[in-house]
Amino acid sequence: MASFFDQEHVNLALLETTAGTAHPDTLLSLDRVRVAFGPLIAVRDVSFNLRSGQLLGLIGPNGAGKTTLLRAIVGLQPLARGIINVCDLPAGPGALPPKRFLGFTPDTPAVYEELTVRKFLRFIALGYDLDPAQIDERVDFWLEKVWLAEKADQKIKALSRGMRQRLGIARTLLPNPRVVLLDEPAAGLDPAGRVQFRQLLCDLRDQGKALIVSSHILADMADYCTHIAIMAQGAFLRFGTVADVAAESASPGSDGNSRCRYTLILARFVADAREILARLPGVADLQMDRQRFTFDFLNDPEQAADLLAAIVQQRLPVASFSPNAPGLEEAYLRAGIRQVD
Amino acid sequence: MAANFPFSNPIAYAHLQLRGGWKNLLLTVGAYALVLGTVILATVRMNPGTPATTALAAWTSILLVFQLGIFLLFGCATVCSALRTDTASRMIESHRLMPVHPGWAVFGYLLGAESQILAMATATFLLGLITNLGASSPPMRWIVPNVILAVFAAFVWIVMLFASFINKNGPRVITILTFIAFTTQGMILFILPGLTVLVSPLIGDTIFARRAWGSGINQQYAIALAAQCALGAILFIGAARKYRRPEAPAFGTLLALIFLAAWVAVSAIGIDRWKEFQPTFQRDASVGHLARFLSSLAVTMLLALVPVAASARADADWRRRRRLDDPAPMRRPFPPVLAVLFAAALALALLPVALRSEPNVRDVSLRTAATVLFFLLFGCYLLRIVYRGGGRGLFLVGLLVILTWVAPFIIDLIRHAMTDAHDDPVLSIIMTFSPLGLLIELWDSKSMSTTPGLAFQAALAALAALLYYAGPLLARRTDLSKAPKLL
Repeated sequence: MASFFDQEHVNLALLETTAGTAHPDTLLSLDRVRVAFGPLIAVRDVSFNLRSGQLLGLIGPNGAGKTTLLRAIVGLQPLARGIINVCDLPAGPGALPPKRFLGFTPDTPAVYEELTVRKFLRFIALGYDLDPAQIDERVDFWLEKVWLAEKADQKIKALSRGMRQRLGIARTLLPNPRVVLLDEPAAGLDPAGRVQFRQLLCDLRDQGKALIVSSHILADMADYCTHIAIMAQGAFLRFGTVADVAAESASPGSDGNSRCRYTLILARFVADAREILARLPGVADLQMDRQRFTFDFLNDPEQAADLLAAIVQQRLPVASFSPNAPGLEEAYLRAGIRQVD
Repeated sequence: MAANFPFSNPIAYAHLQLRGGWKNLLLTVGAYALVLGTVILATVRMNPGTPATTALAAWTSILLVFQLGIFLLFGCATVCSALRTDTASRMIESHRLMPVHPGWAVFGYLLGAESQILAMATATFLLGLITNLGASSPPMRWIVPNVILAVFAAFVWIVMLFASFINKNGPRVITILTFIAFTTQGMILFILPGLTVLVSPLIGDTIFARRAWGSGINQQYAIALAAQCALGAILFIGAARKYRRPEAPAFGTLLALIFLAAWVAVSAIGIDRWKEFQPTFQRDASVGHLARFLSSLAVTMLLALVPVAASARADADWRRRRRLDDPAPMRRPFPPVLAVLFAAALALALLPVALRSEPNVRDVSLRTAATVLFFLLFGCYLLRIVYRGGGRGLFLVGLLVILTWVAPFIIDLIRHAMTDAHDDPVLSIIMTFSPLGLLIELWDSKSMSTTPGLAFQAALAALAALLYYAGPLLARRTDLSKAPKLL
């Protein structure tokens, strides 16, 4: 699959506008989008295109600018500069036409506590000028889809956090938007809800919608995202398909050789194991949790075998030694972000 | 959707549902009408000594007071509370995500939040119509005051909604100002004829007088209604703009200039036709024509800062985006200096009203024009400096403007308090260093020279302009001296 993230489209002030080069399937395009709060730049010249059927996972520490970026796309945050196009229509604060194609669920969806679930969704349907003959049918469909059908006539104030989160998702999907943005959508969901939600996201993706999901649950994101962006200090640090970003966890070290992370588990606790391992040539960024050690080393089976031999030679009781499979967590940690939420 | 109008409006629908929906609305209003109707009937039946027509006429007047309370007290509180709740719960952001036209959304607040008020007012109106008929009074005596009151109430609701959009404490400020106006026995109405015109249904030839003696809408009310509609429409657009983009100013330069023009027109009419509009209470209040003109001009000068600020802000935004090489550049906004000229011209449109009673004051007029222009230029450059810096320090500009107006008077008073001479005047030439003092001296001459005051105003404007233009140069020099040497 061709990467929708062209390297030169990201974080480069020099680049030309993406509008002229956008793929016909492009539903969302950002060109040098910057959001500033006074002197603080919350989103730093972000550019990308998102096409139909693509699901972008946005990961990064708190304060990275994920929520601000999502809010800017839906027009809740004014831009310091840049262009956002939704379905080829210029978006931004106050622009009405693109709102028909955009759906956004914030991390804590705003609701009218005193309304029943059904009345709340009817109100949303009116806001999107849906066909009155279809409103009840659509409301029932989405209530069923987010497992709230039984709560339809209950007041929202009686719902749990997870249920409100589901209601927020139903609110977003009710008008059938083509671009769906979800900020921490799985935060309040129970394990079963998360599994169902994952399936829902896959369905939406397969229906040809373009989605952006911001989340901290990296394991889940690897399952349903087609693309990943790692964000820090308002900018994209890593971007690409999930496989591309994950593969970057085995990135070249300062010596130019490819490196990856290894896990070593000892059969029993050895007091000076850390010092012994740290002395071995090529071992870096050593982390220890009793008998379990993780460290950086060359991504080369021959060299790894030599390292294992050296460890055994040091009389350390090796129970297990393996390179970590490349994954988002690795990529996230390797992006230079140490603060894990 | 059109079949369900007006509740095809999503915000109106939500707020109606929050108040219990149609069922609750009909129950509440039905109970209200039933209780009130029973009380009216009981009082008429239980006082056989009083003719029914007299009792019902009294009840009609009482119902008008009820109507006033429903429209103004409950109505204002409800609409402000609806917006405050939506803002606090961030529901307003959810509304902004919908493709709903801002004007339709603001209308939704007025309609949905006020649904109960409107229903109660309709019930009161119908009851009043019955009591009025029972009192053998022409129906128009009841209908006309109600129409006037309804238009006035709609105007006040829009003012309150606009204030709520500007700041969450906006309605509170208006309430406090109204309270102050009451406690000062409405003195502000004597010095601000524009305001008097707008609130004429409650003062002057009031709706109560209409009910008692009049029937049709006279010219005075026609003017007041037109003024309320014009200013209400402008504020409605401002509220809609604020709904659409909370971070943007409610008034752009053009809308602010239109607002200023409307205010000047209403003030000019108020000054010119004072005899018709003046409050019925304190008819003998000794506030002269000149005082009304000067206070109106002073308030207009302050209001003229609104278009100037809007223009300064748009200009700063345009320059910033150009500097950032924005791929979506803005259209060049209205130049701030041009906004100053337009605003000054509009403010000075009040002069012909003053010149009717004070002919042959060409020199005074020219100096007044210069005072207004220098003040607006001073404000313009201060605002440009602030907006160039990202809008921080706006409060300080306000403080500085107030200081330039008030400080010379305070200094003069301190000077007077410290002198031993009994014949020393309370106000001296020092007061002419304030724009307000300068205007007072120009028009109510105490034979002091106004040239130093005028020169001071010119110097202030020049200083602000110098700071604006020299600021970036100074900053660049400072940056260069601080910057590490490049290899």
